[in-house]
Amino acid sequence: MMRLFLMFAMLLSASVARADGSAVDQAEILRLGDMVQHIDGRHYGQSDTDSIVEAMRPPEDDADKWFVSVVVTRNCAACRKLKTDWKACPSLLALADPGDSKGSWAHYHEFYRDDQSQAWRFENIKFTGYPTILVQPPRSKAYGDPSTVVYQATYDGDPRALATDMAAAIRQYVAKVSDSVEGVGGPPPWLPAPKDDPDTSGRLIPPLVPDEVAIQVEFPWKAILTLVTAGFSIPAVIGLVVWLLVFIRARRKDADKPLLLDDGTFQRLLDALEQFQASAEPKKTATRRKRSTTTKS
Amino acid sequence: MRCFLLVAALCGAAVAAESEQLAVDLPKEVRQWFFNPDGSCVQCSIGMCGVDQNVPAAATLLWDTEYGSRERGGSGPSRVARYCRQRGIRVYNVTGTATWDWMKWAVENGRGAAIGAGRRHFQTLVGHDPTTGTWYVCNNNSPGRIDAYSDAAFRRLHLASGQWVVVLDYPPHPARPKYVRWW
Repeated sequence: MMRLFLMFAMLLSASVARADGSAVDQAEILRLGDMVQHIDGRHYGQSDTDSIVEAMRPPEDDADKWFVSVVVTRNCAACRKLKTDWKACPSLLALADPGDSKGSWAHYHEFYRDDQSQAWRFENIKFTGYPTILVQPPRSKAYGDPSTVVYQATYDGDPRALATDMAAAIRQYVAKVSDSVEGVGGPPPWLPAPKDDPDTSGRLIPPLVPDEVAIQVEFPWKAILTLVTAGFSIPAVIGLVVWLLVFIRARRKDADKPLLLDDGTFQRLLDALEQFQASAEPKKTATRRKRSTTTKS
Repeated sequence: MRCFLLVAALCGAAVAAESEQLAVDLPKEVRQWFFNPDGSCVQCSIGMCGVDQNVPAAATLLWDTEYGSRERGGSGPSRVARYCRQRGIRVYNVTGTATWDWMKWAVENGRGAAIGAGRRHFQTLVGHDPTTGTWYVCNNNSPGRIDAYSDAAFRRLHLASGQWVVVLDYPPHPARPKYVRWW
């Protein structure tokens, strides 16, 4: 056991020694201080001090870019033609620019099918010919699973047709997933402020518009007097019934008890009774209904 | 034997994170190519980023190829700048306090970063989970596994080597494509 432990300790120390050697020049890191050196083959050594602060920042996020991958083989004339056509076709460059990774709408990659360092990426893909063009959604998942193959095709020599087909597939895919992907399309998760509000002062002062309409009916004194003095009369009875209905409804409302009819239906019932009352007696009945309003402070 | 198992278990604190979810999603077999036998940790780390972003000139730094002669042994920022210029590799060579922002930017946008990690050592940052504050790093001394670090531990790790990171100026790799019936 001891021997095993010693052996492991030796292995560990060897590893540390390897890492602790001169693998990284720490002194140079300290000498350089805060520095971002962009080696891009074009601007090396030309940066001035004014641009240093800007240069210290990382570039803009590009996780929302789509992916266009072109899978080619060696000694493939069609592959060479596609690469040439791509650089010359504005429609294809509008989708992905191989020469300008920052300005390109989509991330562009060119993979060699026999490159063992990349072959594992395409284990799930069936190739029918080369070059093969694949389009995938952004890694931000704004349009669903970024591994989804949105478009796959081989090249028939027509760059504009290829660009048109790719764009059509992207549009079709976006239309499909927009309904199902959270946060894409559809209504916002809150009620936004109105775009055109004719009475904007309403946000600053208390509302004066009645927000509740209560139906009040005067006590039917005339109906009672009619019944007492003239005997049975349909309009007088209707007047009493209307008052009774409104009274009972108001009591139930005050007691938070369930109502048999909603306000609209109840209003229509009262209107019908009132019409019947009016038709039964040409003269105006003793019962008068009026609307009063309450306001919220 | 028990002692060995104990140490192995402690080393096992290195979490075998699901590599496909990380910014650098290389399979273990490919990461093994970048094992560091001779103090070439900077080139191993950059090479791993190179293969992940499909940049052959960076991926083949350790070997003699048509992209250039092998680059072996220790490095500093100036040597990296030199061989990247020679090979036409576009990189951001960042030292100092901005390295934290650059590391976050790289992994959030699907890229790896070759970073100072450990005393005089370089490793590959392969992912970051901001919700748990976990950083995922592949050490070229043990490229078969992915090590997980808390924010504090990762800070110590990075500062131990000096603040220097190298990020390749190329697009990130696409996710491994698969067929999904979306139409």
